[in-house]
Amino acid sequence: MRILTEQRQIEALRDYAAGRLGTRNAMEQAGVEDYAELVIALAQHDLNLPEPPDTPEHRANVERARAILQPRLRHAR
Amino acid sequence: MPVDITIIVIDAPPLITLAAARSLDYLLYPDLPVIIPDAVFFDATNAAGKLGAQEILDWYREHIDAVRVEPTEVFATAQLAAQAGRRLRDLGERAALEVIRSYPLAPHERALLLSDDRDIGRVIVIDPDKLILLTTWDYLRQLEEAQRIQSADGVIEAVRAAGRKPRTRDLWGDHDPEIRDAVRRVIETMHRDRPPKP
Repeated sequence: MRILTEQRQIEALRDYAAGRLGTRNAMEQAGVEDYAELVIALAQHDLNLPEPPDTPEHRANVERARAILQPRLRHAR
Repeated sequence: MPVDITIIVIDAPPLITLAAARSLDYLLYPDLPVIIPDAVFFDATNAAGKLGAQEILDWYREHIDAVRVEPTEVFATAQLAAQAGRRLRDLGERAALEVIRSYPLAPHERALLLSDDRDIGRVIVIDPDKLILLTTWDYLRQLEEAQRIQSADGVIEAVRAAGRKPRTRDLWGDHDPEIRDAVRRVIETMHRDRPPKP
């Protein structure tokens, strides 16, 4: 039973790292209490934090943010 | 007319990720006001010894002029529920929604919403022309592109290196006194700034 639980946790962590699972669902399925524990579990299983999904909405958000952020970042203190 | 921008951190993961990499100051690099809903701040700091919790508290105290922990009714209600032994779900997201809804943005205002929950997209439906949703990764990539940091990957590597064995979750009474004080300050501010209901 314990092996099954660990397998489920690893699957949930892999899905999260691959961007297939949201943060809250990943925490629930991996059986961790909060995001700090999720980060620790990822590190323990040699998995990276996920990159965001490549959707048109997401690309549009990044473009709009870039237009705002880049001039400020380049000319800030 | 120049566009006024505010950064709103709408869930705890961006704070914890940047704190774990000791990079919270990156949030201040664009020189914009930063708002954190009280429940999100509490989520990120509510257990002594948790990854990033102390760093977030220290950073907030150092930058109280640039970073505002915004009080919400949702969090106040949750505190009362907690005293009665009930725990409300999705507190951070609900507090973030309250903050966003209480800030009607003028035509020249925009808000950059920082979130790592891929299910949070529905938040921007409130005002899709003015609310711009970014993940921590996106934000780090913009910093890298502007040559303000050497490598976004390097930050993520630092987070992974910070992974450590978790402690058992503490209850409120067992929390670090500094954390309890920080939360109390949030609640006191809320009561001071909000007029009593008729």
